[in-house]
Amino acid sequence: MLERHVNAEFIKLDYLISVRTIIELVKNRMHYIAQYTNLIGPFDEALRRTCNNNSFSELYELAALASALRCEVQSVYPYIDYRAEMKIMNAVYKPMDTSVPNNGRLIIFWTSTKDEIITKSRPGSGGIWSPNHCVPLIQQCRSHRTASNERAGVTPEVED
Amino acid sequence: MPPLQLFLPIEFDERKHLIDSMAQQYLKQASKSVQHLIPLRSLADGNCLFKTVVSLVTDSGVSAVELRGLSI
Repeated sequence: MLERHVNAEFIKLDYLISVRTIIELVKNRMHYIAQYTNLIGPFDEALRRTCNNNSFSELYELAALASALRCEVQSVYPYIDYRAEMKIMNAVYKPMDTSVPNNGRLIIFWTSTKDEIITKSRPGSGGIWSPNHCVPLIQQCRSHRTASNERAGVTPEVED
Repeated sequence: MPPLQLFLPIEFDERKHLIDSMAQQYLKQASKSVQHLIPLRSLADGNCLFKTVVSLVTDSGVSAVELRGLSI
């Protein structure tokens, strides 16, 4: 089923976005260092990992992606083995340049490709759940939302 | 460098999007404010952040000029 997403144009698109994000990180590196080093860790190491094609995503990338795409990026992390310092994983990252209108909001959900028990028992995890994947979240289509509201007993609009 | 012209879809389109059922299970343990949303299937190849955008947009979602000009 997923094959229909995998064509040359879409493969190019994710490279394009990753390159734009890396350019954004380099161009405004002082901003990202000042803003996030205390929370996330050393910038240069994170950038090196970002440039490596198959590296796992970092919060630096998430923050820079907001400026690269000119949209808000909301990070959503499940409350599993959640610690106070992880609140930066449940936050909205906004483009640096607020003078231009942005393109809406991209919502990223941190998840795992395996169920909770298997994820917690991965070697080296120490029994703590951590994500190995992220996916976008999107609104239900309007017709489905309306149908759900009706089932939930919400008063529908009355037609004459 | 011209800004990237990307149009993110607002809602789920069953002709273009696929649901990630495992993520749907995990979503029950996320903030209540997002539990009504739908997680989309996206390639899990270690570079998932950028793939999230790919799984969202359609072929009309990005400037063709910029794609043609891409040489990396």
